[in-house]
Amino acid sequence: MNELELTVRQAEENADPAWDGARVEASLARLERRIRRRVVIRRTALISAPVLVALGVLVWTSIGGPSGASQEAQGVEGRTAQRETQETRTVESPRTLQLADGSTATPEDEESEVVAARVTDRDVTVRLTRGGARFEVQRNHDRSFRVDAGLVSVVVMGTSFSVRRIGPAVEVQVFEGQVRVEWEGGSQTLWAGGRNVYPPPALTEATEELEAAPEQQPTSASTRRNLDWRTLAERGDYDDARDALEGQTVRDDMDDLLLAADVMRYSRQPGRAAEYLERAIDVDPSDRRAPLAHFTLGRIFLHQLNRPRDAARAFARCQALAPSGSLAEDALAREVEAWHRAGERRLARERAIRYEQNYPNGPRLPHVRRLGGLD
Amino acid sequence: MTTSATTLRLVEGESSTDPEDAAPLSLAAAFRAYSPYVAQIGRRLLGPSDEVEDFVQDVFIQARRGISGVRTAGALKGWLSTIAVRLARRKLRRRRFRQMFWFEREVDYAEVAGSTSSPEDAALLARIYRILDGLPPDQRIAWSLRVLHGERIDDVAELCECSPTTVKRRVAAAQAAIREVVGDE
Repeated sequence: MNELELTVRQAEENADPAWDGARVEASLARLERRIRRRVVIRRTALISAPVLVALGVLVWTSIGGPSGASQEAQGVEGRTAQRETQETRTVESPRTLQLADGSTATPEDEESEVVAARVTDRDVTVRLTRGGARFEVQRNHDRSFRVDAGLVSVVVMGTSFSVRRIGPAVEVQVFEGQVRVEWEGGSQTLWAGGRNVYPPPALTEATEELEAAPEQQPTSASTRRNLDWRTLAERGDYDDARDALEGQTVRDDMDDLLLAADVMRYSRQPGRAAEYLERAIDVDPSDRRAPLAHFTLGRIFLHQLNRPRDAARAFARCQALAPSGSLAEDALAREVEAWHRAGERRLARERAIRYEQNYPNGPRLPHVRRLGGLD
Repeated sequence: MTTSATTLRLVEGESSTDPEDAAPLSLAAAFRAYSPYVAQIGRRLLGPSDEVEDFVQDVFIQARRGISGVRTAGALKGWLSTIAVRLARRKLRRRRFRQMFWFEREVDYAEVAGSTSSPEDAALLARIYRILDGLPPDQRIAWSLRVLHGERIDDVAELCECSPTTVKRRVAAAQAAIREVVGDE
């Protein structure tokens, strides 16, 4: 057996749904009903055959044509005419797909469904078959991550975003980083804080410009240094964008500050990323992207700067600003984790109880219960 | 699986000197003991789909008349396996026929992989099962029994009712077809 076959066999063993006692008993009950029906059919056929033959002869002689019918016993492969209904299953909370690199795809509710269509070292394709889902994609230059949602595809590189199907259209919202949205005849880059529905009713000027623009050619080092840091960031050249920012002052503009924060995050400068995010929050605390800024700050504090108390406060502010927003559930779950890591068991437990009350079917409930000490 | 101790002794007993070993087996007892095993064979030969439950029942319907004549657990398991392979071959041939002429809708294996699968496993299995759908049934069965079910060549030969050499040839052909599609990913 070669390596691929060993992998496939292991995958099959992992995937094989077990026939537990309940399923065996239910299937046995159906089997016994099938067998009883077959016995009844055979006996009926045995008893009624002579009668039917006689009837057939009578009809034949009266109308002069073939008629009558006789029941045929079902063959071994024949299915029952009336399929038994399956036993009712408990409705499960939305299932999160998690890849080995930590990327996740979380259906937004029980009606939504997302499946992995292709996963290789070079590319990942996930299919959103119905409803909506939230995606958190780890940055990986060597692998493309694609979400197919009917007529629209979203191609990403290290971002947090959501995709929701609305009839034939698709709504895309980006929380961090950037995505490229593609549809037949068009494409558009969407940035953190951006939200749009695709395909657009008519091509916008921006899309026409993107389509008309020549494909970008690799630039030399000297050329890159002369480019504005924003241009470099928009191209995904975060290391060069960071270098271009040296000695420059980022103006007090929400867009620039969030972009600068992304540059620092993706070029492994979490401390500076946090500074830009805090500035962004100070510039306009009521900006619609402020919850996102707090959320991102919380993640940096928790996972990169080892400041769990600051992280917990950031997640709490995110929820306070947008208690019904799309980040609220995630923020509360992470707040539980942050208080847990800070050693604040009472606070972690209180937040976990709140999570359980507000999101009884939340995808992070098992994790929250464990960290909050509710298990 | 909640199987009674009595059933276990009747079905699983290995000692030929055990008088209860010679007692006739009931369909229900045999089903409780071996339906998960037959379901496993069915899934691996037919692919994960909603056909598997009907397949399991069809195997036991076909086996029921002879069950009372089977005296040991080992013999029963082997016998059920042989029936399962024959039925699977028949179903696969019918499926290929329908797909060739009636354009039967392909199963979306990505949606029917088990809930315990990782996304990587689910995607890999979906690809493999799609490739298997394109193979002749005999090659598919030989490869599935050998690779997915982990049977030895001699046991596969017994189940497929052919020689070990034929099994090796069929497995090699299936491996070549899979390698051609999956390549070195």
